[in-house]
Amino acid sequence: MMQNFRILFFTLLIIAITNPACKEREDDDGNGQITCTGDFDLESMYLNIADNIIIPSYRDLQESIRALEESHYVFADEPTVSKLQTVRENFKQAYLDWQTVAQYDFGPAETFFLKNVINNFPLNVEETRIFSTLEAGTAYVSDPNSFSSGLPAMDYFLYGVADTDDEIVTFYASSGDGVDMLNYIGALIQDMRVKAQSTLNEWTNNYKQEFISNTGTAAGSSLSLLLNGFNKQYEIIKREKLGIPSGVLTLEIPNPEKAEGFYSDLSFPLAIEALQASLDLYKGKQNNGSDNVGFEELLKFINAQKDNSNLDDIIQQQFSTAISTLQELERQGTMTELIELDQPSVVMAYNEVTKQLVNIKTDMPSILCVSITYIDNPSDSD
Amino acid sequence: MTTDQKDIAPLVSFRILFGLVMLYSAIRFVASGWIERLYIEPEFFFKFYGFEWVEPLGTVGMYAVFGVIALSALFIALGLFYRLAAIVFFLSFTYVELIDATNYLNHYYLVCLLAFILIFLPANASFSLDALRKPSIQCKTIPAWCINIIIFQLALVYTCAGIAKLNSDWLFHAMPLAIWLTEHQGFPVFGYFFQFKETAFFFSWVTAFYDLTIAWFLLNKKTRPFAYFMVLAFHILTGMLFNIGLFPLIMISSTLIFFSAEFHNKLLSFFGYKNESSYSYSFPKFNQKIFRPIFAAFVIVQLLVPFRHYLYEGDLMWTEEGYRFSWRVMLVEKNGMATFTVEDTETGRKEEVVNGKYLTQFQEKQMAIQPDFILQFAHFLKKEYEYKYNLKDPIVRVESHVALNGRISQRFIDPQINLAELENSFFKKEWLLSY
Repeated sequence: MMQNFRILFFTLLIIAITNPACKEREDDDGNGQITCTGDFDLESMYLNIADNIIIPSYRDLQESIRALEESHYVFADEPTVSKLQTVRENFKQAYLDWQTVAQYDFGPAETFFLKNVINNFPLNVEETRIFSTLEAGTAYVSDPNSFSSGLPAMDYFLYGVADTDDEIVTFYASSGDGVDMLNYIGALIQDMRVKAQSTLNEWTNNYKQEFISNTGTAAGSSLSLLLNGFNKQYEIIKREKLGIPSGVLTLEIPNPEKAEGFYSDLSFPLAIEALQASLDLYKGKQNNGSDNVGFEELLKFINAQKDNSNLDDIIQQQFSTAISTLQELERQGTMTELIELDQPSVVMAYNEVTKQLVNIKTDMPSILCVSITYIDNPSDSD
Repeated sequence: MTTDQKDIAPLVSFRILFGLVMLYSAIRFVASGWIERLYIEPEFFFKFYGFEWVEPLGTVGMYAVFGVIALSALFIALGLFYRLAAIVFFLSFTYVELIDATNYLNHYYLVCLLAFILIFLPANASFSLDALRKPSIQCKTIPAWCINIIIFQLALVYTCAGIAKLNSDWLFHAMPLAIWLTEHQGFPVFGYFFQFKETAFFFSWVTAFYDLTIAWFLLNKKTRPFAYFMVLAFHILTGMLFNIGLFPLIMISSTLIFFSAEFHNKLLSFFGYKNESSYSYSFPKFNQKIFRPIFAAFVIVQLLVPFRHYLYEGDLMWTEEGYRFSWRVMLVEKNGMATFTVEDTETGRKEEVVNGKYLTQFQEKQMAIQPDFILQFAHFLKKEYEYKYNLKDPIVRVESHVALNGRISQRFIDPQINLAELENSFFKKEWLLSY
């Protein structure tokens, strides 16, 4: 018996040694470069991202929400068209500022459900109307599952409750529902301010240290959190901001009313700002400031190549194409107008945004050896 | 099937341990809430070729099936209504594995095979409730092949796993271990070393050597104690490092069968085992006639199946044609994305599919890297859109990219091809782009 086993496994060994799978894969250029993050100084990258990008962006957001709140109370006190314009300006600023932090949906932001509090869209208009005129409606403001609060609700309250600015002011000045709504708006801005403030405080007081020192590539490491957050937000830009409104996901039947900033016609500016924020994080660039260490430097450091070019060049090129395509559309009109007049142009912009996805969602995690584990594994593996 | 006889004790230990480990496995599965997550929540299930008809049974039904698995495993351990229990265990366990190919694991496949083998063996002929009920079945020795067939199966698993590791990524790039080990720098004692590429190379070569040779060292009486120590060290370490569930426990308990009868008699005697029978078990003539071809076929199939990938051209780790059922364990780190578009042939309108509407995240992740899953999902989409939108023969295309072992991604499937028209088969998938 033993003899039989010996013969059998000897044969298998022969097979093993002549194994054709032993050949090199074609793309290996001989230097066997699979380096992951190598000796790259991740801590200094995290320090730059935390100090110069994330924390200042949360500070901006927190300040613009505060300004929004103040102007709201001025408006609520005695509604006029010019006061409405001031609230709208502040709303716009807050919404743009939100775009710069949306991709950091981990750590403190996750703790306080910041994304749900500030930007659950598309808005459920029906429900928003009901909640905002209910006696105890303000209780719904802080429900993270609600699609009737946050900036999408503000979008409706400031632009959508009536057709003209005069009618909107009259609505708030003299109707019972209008007064109830002002109350509701006050509550929801307050909720946003409190949560944004808490997130900022948590970042500066505690989380920053944890974030900077959490090196490595495992799930839950800062690299994994950043890359996952970056990708999740990018998917939202692609799907929610452009795909759903333009009808790409519904047999080309458009749904402009599902766009972010539908009532204020801010859809394009918001999408552009969001892409710009993704690019800034990628480059390690301060909001309108100096460019420092980011993913860009990391990819250059490990000399990541794709199709005989630098992966970094490909990514930056695609960002700039996507952003300029959207900027061109923005010059031509609002998203609602364009979807109606020239739907294919919006679909084209969507496609430009989509082309980036493989670079950042498949390539970056793979070559940086980061597990994309916002997908948690419900089972064993082998 | 020679007439050699061997002491039954190793088989008795094997039966008891196998039953207990499987009992634990069923309880663990239920307690982890995996029945809901894997068999109730998903709307769509990926199938093994030829088993498309296997469907889950709903909440109550699935819990009942796991109850049956647990109970039959216990009965195997106790040796009570043994043959029936082994049949029931094999069928129920295999049924669960067939429901969703997403959850395929090599060690679950091994469990199916071992359970199948156990159906035919007289493992209850000693130290069992059956032998207590019917002392006439009690015996001291059994035909040697009854033990050798299990040894063969286990040796094959290791050896094939070792052969699979002899590829350039594993040996010369330390991939994917270099990726996986760096994730575990927080590991006690060894963690510090995991940041170094040298550690990954060391582990790659050691594990390849281990897999290729461990069966030899276990077979050899002189090296056996050391070899088993290595089995313990290897499986405990990998079990602590990686999310591999029951695999370490199954191998640690099964490989005891390599040990001698004296060892097992002593081991079992701690639990009150005594075998004073002098009978030698021999299969009834009729059974011999049936078992002989069954096991001859079994051995041949087991020897051929892991090497069927030679029939396909192309990079096995890329195409995965001939990948399953071949003991390719922990061999590759792959991630990918697959975006489907359905086109209405009458109007030319297109819709991009949100995979998450139909698939769990885990299913979506698994699908993106396995071509037969992509095809199955495309076929599902065709039907779904015919039904939901009343489309006639919609075209289904996929934009898919896969990255292998820490490399940059490549396009996986021809984006122009209409997947709805393709048949799934064992033939080479010409629509896969080569690596």
